[in-house]
Amino acid sequence: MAIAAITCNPALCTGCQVCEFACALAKAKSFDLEIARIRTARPEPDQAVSIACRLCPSPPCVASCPRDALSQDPAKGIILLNKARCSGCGWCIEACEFGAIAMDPSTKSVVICDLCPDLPKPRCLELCPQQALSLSSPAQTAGRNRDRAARRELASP
Amino acid sequence: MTHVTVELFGMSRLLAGQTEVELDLAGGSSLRDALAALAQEHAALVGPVLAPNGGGLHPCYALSLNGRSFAPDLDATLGPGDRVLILSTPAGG
Amino acid sequence: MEPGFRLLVIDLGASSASTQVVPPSYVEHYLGGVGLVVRLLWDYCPPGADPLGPDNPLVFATGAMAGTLVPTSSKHAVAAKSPLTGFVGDSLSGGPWSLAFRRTGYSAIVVQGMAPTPTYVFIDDDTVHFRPATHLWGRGSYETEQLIRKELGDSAVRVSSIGPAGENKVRYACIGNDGTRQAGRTGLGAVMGSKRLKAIAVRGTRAVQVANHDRLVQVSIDLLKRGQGPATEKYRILGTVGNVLSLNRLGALPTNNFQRSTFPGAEAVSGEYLYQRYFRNTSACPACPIACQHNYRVTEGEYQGTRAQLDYESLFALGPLNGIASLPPILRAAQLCDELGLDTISTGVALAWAAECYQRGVLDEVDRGALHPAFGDYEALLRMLPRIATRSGLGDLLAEGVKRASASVGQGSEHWAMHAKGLELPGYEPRTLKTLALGLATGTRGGCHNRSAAYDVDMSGTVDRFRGEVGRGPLAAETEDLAATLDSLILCKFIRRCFDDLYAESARLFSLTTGLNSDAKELRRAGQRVVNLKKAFNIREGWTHQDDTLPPRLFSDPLPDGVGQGVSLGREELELMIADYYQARGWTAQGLIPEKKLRELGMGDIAAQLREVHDGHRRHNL
Repeated sequence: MAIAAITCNPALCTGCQVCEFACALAKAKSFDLEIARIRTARPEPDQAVSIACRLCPSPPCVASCPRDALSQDPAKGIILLNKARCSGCGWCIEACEFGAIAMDPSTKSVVICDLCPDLPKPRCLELCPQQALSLSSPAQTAGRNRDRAARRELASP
Repeated sequence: MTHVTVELFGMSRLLAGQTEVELDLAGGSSLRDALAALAQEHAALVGPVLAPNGGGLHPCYALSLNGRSFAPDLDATLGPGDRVLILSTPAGG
Repeated sequence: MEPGFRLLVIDLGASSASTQVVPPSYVEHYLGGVGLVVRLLWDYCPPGADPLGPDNPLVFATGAMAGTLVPTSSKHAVAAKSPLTGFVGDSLSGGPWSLAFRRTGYSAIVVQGMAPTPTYVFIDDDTVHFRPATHLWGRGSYETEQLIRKELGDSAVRVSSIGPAGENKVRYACIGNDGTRQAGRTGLGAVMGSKRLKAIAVRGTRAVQVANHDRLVQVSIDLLKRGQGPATEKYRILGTVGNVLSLNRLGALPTNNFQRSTFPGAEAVSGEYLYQRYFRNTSACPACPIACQHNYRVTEGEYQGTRAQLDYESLFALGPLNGIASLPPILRAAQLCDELGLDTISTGVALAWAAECYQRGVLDEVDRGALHPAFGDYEALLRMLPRIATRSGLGDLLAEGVKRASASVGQGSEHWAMHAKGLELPGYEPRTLKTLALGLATGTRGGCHNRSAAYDVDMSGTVDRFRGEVGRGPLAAETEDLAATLDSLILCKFIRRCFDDLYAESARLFSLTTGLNSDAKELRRAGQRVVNLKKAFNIREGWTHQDDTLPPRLFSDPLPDGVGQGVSLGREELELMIADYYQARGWTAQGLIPEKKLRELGMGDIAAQLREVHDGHRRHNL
């Protein structure tokens, strides 16, 4: 199975942050959005998109960790944390260009999307009211974008 | 024959793709018959706007006869030239 | 469990802040939101306070459920004594600010006093900072937000702010948050401006705790799903702008300053056309599945680059009411109003009043030679907006609202000053919606559809909407109570049709959140308390029966066309309904609340204080 990350379609995302709530519920049974592994960005009042770990094949976070606390699951691509090694320095947060890593103040270590391995599918995907989220491999995302481009191209006179 | 016009507003207009639908009904037809005929002609309205099986409208829509009375009796007989309005119920911005 | 609602009391004069706990009885009795802000207003506003003076407090509160997954709970209420009406001023907004504010750990803020120089307040969880805002003074609402975020170096900071209109105390200035949402009505932005308070920035990082987490989550998820169904389709797809054509057909679309109730240009400004031509996407408040905020963009022509949000009220006020039949300038006007911090409804009504003044040759002396508003002239309308916000020329007169403007101009212009109690009327024709006419006349915040919602009765099919009659009193009271309940919980009105039993189900949500016992009956009583509390505030501020009325035009000018042709509102017709309404409320024939009624509702404290004020008046008069 190809590595598939949580991907948000900005055309559908309304910025409702239900994915953040879903994540906090799944991970901490709370409304603590600070530790949500997926976060909604609203760069403009009429634009929003939710972002979780991209499962980069060459993850800068793993490379940046001075204590080798992070590693990547070769099968699923998720970033694994060795809590005992994490000092909470936050260097991985600086390295991640997507802002997909959060600091959990209660454990003083970082948290990253793990695709909810114990659930049939990630909780955020299940609760997103707009069906804006999907699990997509780079190939799937490219395919969708190709389809969209083709539709645009063929629709224009 | 009773000729009536159904005026579509809001979502019903977008779904049907037209603003008015002309219907020729048998004499003595009721409002319910008009809605059934409308459903026949515009299947896209069934579900979101029209209840299936001639059950009237989805609760979020209102029916007006000639723009005056609301939610008229579905079994009321229509007269020639009657105009049936399908409106989404207003609520504030 | 949290120790109740925490209240932050800010004194701008002293740059100090203190934390208090909201008395638990306030939450039990008034729930939160509108109920709570008005209850705090009662405590913190001295009777007879000048709305634009330092004594008038500006109060903010969320509902109990804000910060949770309960759909549409991420909203907040704001209150002060209104500079438009001199009575209770309350308004709702929603969005990320509400959520971030609740997550600071506070549920309410009372802002007192006046800052010596422009200031903004930054509430960073527990810590309150007072920061200079001189460099922000004069800037637009959204620009202010961005600058504050940049200054504080955190995109998670959410900002509620005023634009130039609030700074210049335009009596219908609003308070904007998150770029696109406004606590729009009753001039609360002017109160904020009078305090030299440019903005309230918040950063909240705390998790909201509730009494029964698991059950609340379960119920919320179920409601999230229902919120995606047909019951909210109207708000999700087309938005409330779909009302234009419906109301036009029903003879209920106020046009050319209520001279008529049908608009020949309605198709050109219809929600359907707007959707097909300018719609881009929708945005939602946190935890909301509906996403009612419709975002539009103009991508070509003179108004290219316009990005705006539009709901029915803004569209009606800046469009048909001013005879304007073109969407791009309407979108541009809506965008400008948001930036300048102007309430779109009052702004549109003020401009329409002025247009009629010129039409009748009444305002010729003011601003002679300059542009002047005229029906259908969108360029004049657009040019007037900054002038209102900065109070220049004719704008200074219009910034006072139509009640004061018409009183100062005279010459019969009161006849077409479309307001109730000083608040400009919303976009529903009272002559063809007679129950709504009652709601607008008796509403505590003045001409407002949102607190009354009585048009639901007119559209229900159970009454003759062209005729006011006995029986409407209880019906109008019922819709008003429901609105007060929702506004206090806070749940958005757009989710109201997703419940099978609204009172029972929302009482359950409230109980699961707060741990307080509640049921449908208790929640209804809470709604009644909120309405009575607002009325008590108005009585305290000098309300009399004469204040419950509508503009003369509605009584004397029959509608010229449409299905309402020939219809007007009879004075006796309205009086009859008002008497019926007072009776339904258990008030006196003069509309006063008997002490017994207040005690019956568990509002003995309010009754006692109201009596004190009355006795004081009497002594004073002797």
